[in-house]
Amino acid sequence: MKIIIDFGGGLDVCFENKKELTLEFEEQQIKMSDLIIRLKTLCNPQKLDFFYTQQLRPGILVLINDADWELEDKEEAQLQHNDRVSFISTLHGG
Amino acid sequence: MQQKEPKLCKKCKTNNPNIIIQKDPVCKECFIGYVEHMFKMSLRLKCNITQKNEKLLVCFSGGQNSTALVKMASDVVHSTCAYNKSKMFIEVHVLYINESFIMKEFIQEYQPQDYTNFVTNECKLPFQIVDIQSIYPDPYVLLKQLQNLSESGSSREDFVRLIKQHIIYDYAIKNGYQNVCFGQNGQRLAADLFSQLSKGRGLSLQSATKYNYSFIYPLNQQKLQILHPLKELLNKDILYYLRLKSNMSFPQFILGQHLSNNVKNKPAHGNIDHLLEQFIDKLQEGFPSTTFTVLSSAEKITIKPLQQQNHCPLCLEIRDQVYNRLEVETLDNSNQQLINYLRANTKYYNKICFTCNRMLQSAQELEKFYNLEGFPPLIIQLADLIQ
Repeated sequence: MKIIIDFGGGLDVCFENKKELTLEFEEQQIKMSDLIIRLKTLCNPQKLDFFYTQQLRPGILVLINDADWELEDKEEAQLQHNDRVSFISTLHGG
Repeated sequence: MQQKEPKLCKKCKTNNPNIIIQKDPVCKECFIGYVEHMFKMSLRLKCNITQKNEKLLVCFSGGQNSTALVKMASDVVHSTCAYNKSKMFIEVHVLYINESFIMKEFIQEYQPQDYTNFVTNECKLPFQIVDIQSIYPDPYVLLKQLQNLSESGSSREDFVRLIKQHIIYDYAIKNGYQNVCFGQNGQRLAADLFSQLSKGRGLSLQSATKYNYSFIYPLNQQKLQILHPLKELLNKDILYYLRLKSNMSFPQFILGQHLSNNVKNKPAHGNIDHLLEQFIDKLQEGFPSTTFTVLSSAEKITIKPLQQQNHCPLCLEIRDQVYNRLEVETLDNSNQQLINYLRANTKYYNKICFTCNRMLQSAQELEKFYNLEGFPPLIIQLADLIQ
């Protein structure tokens, strides 16, 4: 299955300046936690704090098909083929 | 098996929810209505913007908060709000301070952004750009001053903030604006509160977190009102609002980080403001009432009236007196000889507040700083005027 990911608030710098990524998974249904683990392998930790220890850094808004992931129990949320996941970061100051 | 009941928006009870605000799931439409309502309510009731044709100077930095602020202000002025279309008859002017002169020097990959299209065409508001170096007789003095300040901590960022503050106040006074609007949301204000405390600006907490805070500008004794109309909103609200209302993309630029290149291995690059923002963000994630608890507690703080309220010419905040032994020790004043020398041989040493002293302490060429050599005439004028 295919998941489309987009980055906002400058998070693209952690992923070779790509504003959008498409990830392929062998499973037909995955959890958000699986996606985060995959993203961790692709993220350039030198650039910006995308992760805070093992979890996503607090302050990053995560949307699954434009809906807050808190509505779906965050890491436990189930993803399906062609779902769009957005990660939007706040800026310092701003 | 019992079917799970589908969740519905708590407000309209018809649409599927898209976001959680104050623990309630709401749909996109109700969310936009909520944000617009909070903004209007803050302006009218909390910031006391009630008179017809009242002039409002909106400070825009290109970041997310101020972009949302400009967008909301445009909607209330042009009656283009999605729901409550009642118009506010106010005059809004947008001020942007262009920092390219500094950024180019410190950030190799810096690309200047043009916000004219967003403000003038998309938001249809009058827009003024002021270069940060424009208040310096010799612009290169500003770069030299920044290079002279310590790379660690937030000294350079604080200095840039002070200069921007002077430009904003000066612009507001010269152009007849009594109300100056800043875009920090509640979460940022809560972080600012801790940041001010940690830097030793306890006496200025009221100006940091209130909805509206008035003070008399010392140069011409005119009243200025500082407004924070987004105080009721959180980071998440702003980000989601922008996602729905604006196509703007935001570059990740963290001035403090770039100005402090040698502290990359420290948490938040050694920048106390950034560190405290992360601290509040983390708390907020675990405890959703964090921001409003901090801010409502801050509202209750009262400051012991001082016999004499002298102000610092750099930050324009109340000049603190050193009362306790702990504070004296944190002044890094082990070099008493140098302090005595500066006190005797520089013109303004005694007029600079505790926090600004902390900012300048690690600088090279201290004498130049304390004699305000090469500083903008505006700051020198203020320093001469202030007792």
